[in-house]
Amino acid sequence: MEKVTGIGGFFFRASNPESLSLWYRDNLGIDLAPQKTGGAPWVQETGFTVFDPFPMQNDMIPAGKAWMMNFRVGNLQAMIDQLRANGNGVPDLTDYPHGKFVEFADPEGNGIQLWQPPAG
Amino acid sequence: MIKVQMPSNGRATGIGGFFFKAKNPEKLARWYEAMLGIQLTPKNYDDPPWRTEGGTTVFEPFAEDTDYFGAEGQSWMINFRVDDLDHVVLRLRNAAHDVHYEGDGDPFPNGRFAKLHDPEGNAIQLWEPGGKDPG
Repeated sequence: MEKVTGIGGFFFRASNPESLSLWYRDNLGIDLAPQKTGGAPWVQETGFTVFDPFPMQNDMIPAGKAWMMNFRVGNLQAMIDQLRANGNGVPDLTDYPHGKFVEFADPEGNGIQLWQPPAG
Repeated sequence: MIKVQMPSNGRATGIGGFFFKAKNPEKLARWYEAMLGIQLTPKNYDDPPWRTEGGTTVFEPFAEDTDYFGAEGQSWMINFRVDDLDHVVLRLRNAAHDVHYEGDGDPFPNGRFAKLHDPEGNAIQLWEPGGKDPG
């Protein structure tokens, strides 16, 4: 079966698209859309992606929001330190059998989950 | 004024998950599996989830009043890379889904695109990378 091979983009409404895209660049290292800047795009690494519709009532996706994004990171503690140094409120990470996780929100209240998959 | 501080070692390396609200989550997940080949989320930690290939990803906030996502209440659109756009479009059309090629199917400098909505109205863009962007 011919399948989709990956996620090539994600587009979402924002009150202030420009400052929010800079926030993602400066805090999570997600490069700006090349169509806008002519620069290099963000390039994802191969990996696992949990694509999952949730019930309307759930305790993961922030109230009033329709989605939540999980980003893989290489070193979650370093990322948390970096986010905090930039003035973001981020809780401590939690260790699970399938990796380290933390949840917080971007400046417009969109839910973000960061995930450091287990080594190997 | 936004402080520009590029990450040193903490950089998101990929999208590990996407979670979205649905009226009928189970049925919608099965639609994504049947139409686009996206594996269902495993019920345990032993089975692997969907494995995505690396590549170019445009992560982009849009203006609140954009008409790019279709319905007014639709707050997001996801783009999936495909190897063979025509093949996937044909399958969707055979299943009676309304799919539109962007630019009449002619290649853009970075490939070919089509758009549709899932059964709950969420916007989907399919992208066959090409030209300047191998994906």
